[in-house]
Parts: sequence; C-alpha cells; structure tokens
Amino acid sequence: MTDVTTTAPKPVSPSMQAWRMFRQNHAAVLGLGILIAIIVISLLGPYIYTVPPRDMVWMPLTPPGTSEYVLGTDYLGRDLLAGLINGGRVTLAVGFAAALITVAIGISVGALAGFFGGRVDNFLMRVTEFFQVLPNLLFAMVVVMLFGPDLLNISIAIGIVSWTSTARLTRGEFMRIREMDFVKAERSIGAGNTRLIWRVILPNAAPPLIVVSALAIGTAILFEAGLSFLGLSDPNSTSWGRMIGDNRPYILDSPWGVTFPGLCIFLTVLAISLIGDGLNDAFNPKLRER
Amino acid sequence: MRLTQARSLTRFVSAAVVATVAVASTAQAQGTMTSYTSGFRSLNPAVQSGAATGAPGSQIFAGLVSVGEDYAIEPYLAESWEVSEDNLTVTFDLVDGATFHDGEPITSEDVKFSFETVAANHPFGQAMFGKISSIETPDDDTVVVHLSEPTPSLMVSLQPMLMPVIPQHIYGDGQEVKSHPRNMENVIGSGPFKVSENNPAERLVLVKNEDFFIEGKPKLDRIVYPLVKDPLTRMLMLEKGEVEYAGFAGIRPTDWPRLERADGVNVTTDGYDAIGYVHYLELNLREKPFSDLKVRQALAHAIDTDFLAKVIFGGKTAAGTGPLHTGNPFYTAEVAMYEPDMELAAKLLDEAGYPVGDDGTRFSFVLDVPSWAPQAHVPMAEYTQAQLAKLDIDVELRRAPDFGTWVKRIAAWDYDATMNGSFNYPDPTIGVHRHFDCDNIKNVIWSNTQGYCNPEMDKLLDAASVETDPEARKALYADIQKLAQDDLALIYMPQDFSVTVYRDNVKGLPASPFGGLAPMVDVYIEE
Repeated sequence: MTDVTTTAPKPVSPSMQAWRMFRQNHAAVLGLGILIAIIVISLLGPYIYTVPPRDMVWMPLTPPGTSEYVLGTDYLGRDLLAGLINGGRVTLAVGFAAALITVAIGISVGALAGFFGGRVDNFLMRVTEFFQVLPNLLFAMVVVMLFGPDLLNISIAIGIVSWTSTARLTRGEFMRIREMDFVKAERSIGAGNTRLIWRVILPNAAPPLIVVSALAIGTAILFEAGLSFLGLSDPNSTSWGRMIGDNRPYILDSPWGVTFPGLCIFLTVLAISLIGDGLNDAFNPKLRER
Repeated sequence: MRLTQARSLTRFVSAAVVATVAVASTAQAQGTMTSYTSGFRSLNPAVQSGAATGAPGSQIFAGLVSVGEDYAIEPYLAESWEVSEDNLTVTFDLVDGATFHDGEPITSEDVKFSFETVAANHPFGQAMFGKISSIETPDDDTVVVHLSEPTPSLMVSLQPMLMPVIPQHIYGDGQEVKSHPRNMENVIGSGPFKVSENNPAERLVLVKNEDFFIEGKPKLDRIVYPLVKDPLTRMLMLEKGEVEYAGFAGIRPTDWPRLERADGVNVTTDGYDAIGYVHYLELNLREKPFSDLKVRQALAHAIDTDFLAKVIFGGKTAAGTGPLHTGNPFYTAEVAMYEPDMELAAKLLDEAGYPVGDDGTRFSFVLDVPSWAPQAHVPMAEYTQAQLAKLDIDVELRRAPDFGTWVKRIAAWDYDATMNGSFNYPDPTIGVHRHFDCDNIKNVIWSNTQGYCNPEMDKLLDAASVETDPEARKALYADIQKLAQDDLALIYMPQDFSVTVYRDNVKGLPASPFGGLAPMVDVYIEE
C-alpha cells in the first residue's frame, strides 16, 4: 500500500481506491445497504413507530396479520414489531461493543507478541492458546452467570472469549511487516517501539484486521443470541436474541415469536458478512489491477 | 434422535421383560409407568419438602394414614386410631407384620423416631408436630401421641409426603439425618415401591415392593423417572406419548389445547387442592417505600391479577385473592379486592409522598425473579414492570442464575421485592401461617421473609391453630384472609397452573387432594 502512490498513474487516495474495489462487489454493496437500513430503523424507528415495546397491547400470541399489530404479539401480548424495532438497538450495541472489545484485546496482544517476539511472544501465545482451548460458549456463560446478565457484562464476556483469532492474525501480520525495509528504515532513524507499533506497522497491517473486525460484529451478534437463547440475557433490555429465547417455549404454537427476530439476526449477520467479503476484495492488492 | 431411539429400545426391552413376568406370575394388571422428574437433592421427605422429593418419596415411604377424596383420612400403616375426648391424645394401632425394604420389621419405635426426625428437621416440622409433648410406645404395634394443645391439622399431616415412616436402624446411627448419605444412596423405605436405580443425573427407577403390607398391591411393576428439565422437551415427550404420567407437569397454560389434541393424552388440574400452590409479589416491608401501606395499595390497584389469570394464563388459573388457594376448604372470596385503577394508584402514591420527581420517576426498585418457576414468574414480573412503568415507577428485573443465589438474597432479607410462590399444604397451619407469624420472621426461605408483623394477625393465627370446631375455624381463617388482604402483607398473583398429564391407559390414579404426591398403590397400566 505504501508504494501505491508512486506507481499509480494519477494520484488516487488509498481509501478512494478501496471504495472503488468495494463498489465492484455488488453483494457487498447490498450488504452495506441492508446494514445501513437496519441501523437507521433501529435509531429512528422508535420515534416513528411509537408502540411501547413492553406494554401489553393485544391478546397474547396473536398471529401476524390478524390485528393492527402486523407481526403479531408474543406470550405477554406485546407487539412484536415494536420489540424488533427497539431490540435492534440493543442487539447492535452489544454487537459493536463486543466486537470493539474483541478487537482491542486481540490487536494489543497480537501486536505485542508479533513485534517483540521471543519470550513475550511465547508467553502471550500460551495465554492465547489457553483462551482458545476453553469452550467459548461455556466460558461466556460462566462469565455472565458470575457477574450478572447486564449488557456490559454480556459484551465483555463475548469479547473475552472471541479475541484469540484476531490476536493470532495480528501477530502474523506484525511478524511479516516488522522485517520489511521501511520498518528497518524507521528504526534506523531512531523511532521508538511505541511509534513503530502504532504508527508504522499497525496501519500497514490494517486491511486484514479491518475485515476480521467487521466479521467480529456479526459473530458477536450471533453469540449474544446464543446466550439469550439459553436464558442469559439482560432482563431489562430486549435484544433480538432475547426475543428468541423468551418465545422459544411457545414455538410449537406460535412460531412467529422466534421467526421474526431470527430473520432480523440473519439479515444483519448476512449483511455484515457480505460487507466483510467486500472489504476483503477492496484491500486485496491482487485484485486491484483488474 | 439417537436418544429417542435408545429410549424406545429400552422401553421395548422393558415391555418385553414385563410381558415375561406377566406370563410367569398370576398377578393381574401391571406395567411400567414412565414419568419425569426435574431433579432432587434427597429422596427422604422427612427432611426435604417440595414436590421433586415428595413425588417419588411418597412411593418409597409409607405414612401412618393416607388422604383420600375430600380430605378423608384413610388407614395406611396405621390400621386404626383413637382420639381422646379432649383431643389431646391419639393412639395408633399399626398394621401387623409390616417390614422395611430390607426386611426389618416396622415397629412403633420407628414411628416415634420418624415423628422426632420430622419435627426436628423438616421445614414445617415445628408447624406440624411442635405441639406433640411426648410419644409412648407401649408395644411394637401401638403408638400413643400426646399433645399439649388440640392440633386439628395433625391427621392430615400424617400421610407419607409430610410424615414418612423411616427406618430407625438406618437413620438413627447418630449422623445428621438432613445430610445422611442414605437419603440418596441405597434408600430403604417402608412404602409400596423400592429404589432400584438412583442416578440423579439421568433417572430414578422404582420397582414393586413384593412384601408390601397391603396384599396384592402395588399393582405397577416399575415407575421410571427420567430427568427432564426443559419444558419444551417435556411437552414433546408428553405429546408423543413417551410419558404415561406427569404430576406437576410443568407445562404452560398455552400448551393445554395442544396436549388435548394429542391422541390418548389427558390433562387435569385435579389433585392439587392439598398442595395449594399460590404465587405472590413479595415486598420487603422493612424498607421504604414498601413499608407504607398506601404504596402497597397502589401496587395492588396497578397489578390486575384477574387479567393476568384470564389473559396471560389463558383462563386456566384462578386469580389470587389472598393467602389461601381457591381449592382450600377454608378459602373465602370475602376479602378486600383491589380493582384495577391506575388513576387511584397514582393518587395513592402522591398521598404517600412519592410524586413524580425531576427525573420522571416516583421511585425505583429491583424486582428479583427466581429461577424455579419461570413459566409463572417471568410473565408476572414482566407484566409488573410494564404496569408500574405506567405509574412512573422504575422496576429493574434481576433474574437469578440459580436457586441458591435467589435463596441467599431473600433469606438474608437483602432484596427490594421478589416474585415468589409457595404451597398452602393441606392445612393452613403448615403452609400459610409461616408467612404471617411475627415469630417466623427468620433468615429462612419461605418463612416470613418480608418482615410482616401484626399482633392482631398473630392472635387470629394462634386461635385458628388450636380450634377444633371446623365452622369456628373457618370463620377464623376468613378473618385471617381479610386481614392479610387489608394489610397487603403479600400481593397475590394468579395461582399456579398445576396440572397432571396422563395417558388413557393409566388407570386407578389416586383421587386424593395430594394428586401425584399421593401413594400410587392402585395405579396400573391397561394393556
């Protein structure tokens, strides 16, 4: 990426070029569209569709399309549509927060291990392996049970169990890049370790990390849904996952209670995957000449 | 899938075994009855209350009497009994030749030992047998119980779930009976069925006691209780006919119509009168704002228990109107009813000094939701949260991860409010007094943990526990229910949706108000 500006016939900023590549992947653009739509609906929806999500508004377990509440109601007679619109915020918030924690831990550990190598690397990789061999879901369940099921703890639990692959990827990138000439040049003019890690190597390792970070959001949303399905959800804020968990006992007679939140999760995660795929294309130098 | 196959294979094999036995012996109808359990920590009902222990416990152990239709007291291990004129002495004559499962004879000494063990260890031991001043055993077949005061609840407490006759030669070895290893391993009982396999993580298997003291009984060969906790799995098993009989089935009201459509499956709410499972919102009365009666009245006006019963629970349960279950013989509906009225509730809160503050709320509190009856408590708690939000009261729900965490909080009085529920048991002295008696404000779960104390209530409770005239007693309980509702010591929710699900071919089910917790001596599977 560093030599892009020198070889390109006319100067185009790297981000512009990435966006161009991204745009060529139609599926990714569709994914981006879906995700933006979901974010907009989650943020603005509650002000437009004002049915209170917690209030009992109609007979419990009303099928979709048989009342003014188009998606039907759950076991307490709460409007499913209102639940979905309001639940989107919680789901996305947990997804982004957990992904942030995943990335923060993963990049820090990976960067330190990859940059310093030797004993530091050895130690940090053993720690990473320790976290890798723990069964993810079980470990997250234990964390949530110990500290109580609120949104912050759930995000932390998801973050703690899913940072290992990010760390390994970061480490690999750092090991590769730290031996490159421009890094050696920076070092020879007296750049300190902090500068080398954060200003020199990290920006150059960024492309694959951006891809995994995007995918981490999707994984976190699925994880949250899994925890909620098992009953480990914040009882004071309704996420899509929790809607599935809560309505699960009624699935035999009123499948709509789990179908709609399930669809929402599916769409969101699909959109994020498509975007991740597009980002991968955008940052892949081999595709650039196409 | 594989599990189902394995299960049906075992069922096939066991059916084949049963068939062989049927051909070999001359006994009449029999069979294997499959039920399920939600798990138990003990099989000894003398030291552990609750349905999970009581259901198999009543089969493993015999009581002095059993309770039949309309609370009729019927002879069981006691052939006959005599009550003295002054109601202070009861003399029991035991069945001759009855033995424990290990062949040791059941003697009056064992009965005396059982009384003492229950009185000392059972959560209601003192409520049931605290008035027993002494027990004499003039000979092996005679037990004389002396009481310090008349105890109208005595006889109904003597069935196996609350007063099992346990072997002194096993539990009397000096170890703590509550934590005795034989409560779970190699359990030796006195009842119609013996434990043949007890694997708490998988299943419990009971087999017929061939030497049972009633000739020709029990009729069943085996009762199998696999461990099934998930309500949805239970539903599917019931629907597919994999379970012959499930007392305290733990299904949801919305599942009822589905089960009724299934072939050969019956659902009944009969047989829970003597259990009397009620649910309530428990408020910590030591703390503001709940120490204020007006606040409690406001809450009672905001929570529409009738609506909850009719709509959320599909009309399959009755609204709670007080401490007694509608199936209790002493129940009365003549109590203060708090009509749903949000305006009045808001007014009461204003009067009590809780106006809407600058932050838009009157006050906030944490509502604990226990883990042991989610099908009832989760909808109730979520409904309460939504209703109180309309009054600008901020309710934070806190779902307990497990039973122990919740018990610790409530028993330590370290809570604002909790959803809760308890059993009335056959006599209010056992299951109801505990929540209202000033002396019972204890750090024990399901005691008077909310900290309610009214001397007038204590006087009524004391009078009712010794009143032997049924009519006078009924009048006392009417006053108790009225006072409980006036004081709003607890805010009652809809009663539990307690049901038994059984297949068409299960015959001879006990007509007892104890339902599935009664001994199943006459039950058989029709071929």
